[in-house]
Amino acid sequence: MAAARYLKARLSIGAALAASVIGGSVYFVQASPGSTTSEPLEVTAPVAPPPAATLPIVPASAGNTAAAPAAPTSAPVKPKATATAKRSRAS
Amino acid sequence: MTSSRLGLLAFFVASFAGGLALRSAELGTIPWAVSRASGLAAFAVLSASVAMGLLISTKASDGLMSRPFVFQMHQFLAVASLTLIAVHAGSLLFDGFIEFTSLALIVPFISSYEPLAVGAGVIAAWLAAITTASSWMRSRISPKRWRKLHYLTFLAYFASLGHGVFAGTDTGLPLVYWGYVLSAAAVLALTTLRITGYRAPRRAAAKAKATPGGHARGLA
Repeated sequence: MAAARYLKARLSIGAALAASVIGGSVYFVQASPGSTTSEPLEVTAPVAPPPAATLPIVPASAGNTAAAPAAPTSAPVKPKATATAKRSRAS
Repeated sequence: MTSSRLGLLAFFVASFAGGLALRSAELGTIPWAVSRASGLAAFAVLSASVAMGLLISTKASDGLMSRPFVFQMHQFLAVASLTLIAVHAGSLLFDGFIEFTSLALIVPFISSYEPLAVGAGVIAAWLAAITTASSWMRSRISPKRWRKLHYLTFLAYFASLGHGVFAGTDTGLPLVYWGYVLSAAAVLALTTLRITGYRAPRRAAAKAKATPGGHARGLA
């Protein structure tokens, strides 16, 4: 009788412990949904948007033609040496 | 060694080996959650085992619970605490945040995370294992040596308390915090009774009624 009582007590306590560990694990997992403390935080600096290309606004008035510098629309292109030019040098 | 102890030893070895084999699995926060839950449960069970042992030595539970029952529960809770400690430590092998190594779980004070507090936990685990094993081998060692080894249980308890308070994630929770406080208060109170040689009055009366050659009442 005593052995059966001890066995029953052991089984009850063992089941309670297993349930508490499983239940506690579930609770802790749900309490940290984003894995904020288990996984390393990946902090990335926000990417700054590229500066908007702004062109100086040149008012369309007659007396203000030299005030604003003309914004270069494209870089000057070096003229390529042509075959004609080379032949002319040789001759 | 009995078959149940062999089975228990096999369980520990298999769990450790299985943990090592599954370290590459991506388990997210589950290992950490299991470690927290099993660690708290291990401390609670260890506290109960220590309290049961002190109830036996002080005989303070006489009249409330039979001494053999308390003794059986004391032994069972000691083994249960070892099992939960193994689950607690083994689950840390899966954790991808701190990445405990197997060596850090066995050798104290070499962990990269809170080396002192974690080291205290490792020491507590070893001491709990030693005291439990010494009880299994009680028939093979002298009572004096067994008693000296068993006193290590106090060191194991307070080391585990320090480990839980300083390395535990949930110390700030009221339930956990007051659990630590109540556990320490109970163990300290019972230890004080033990040191002062307290004996329950009922026990003294029962002893007076015991027959000269027989057993005192309350013993099974």
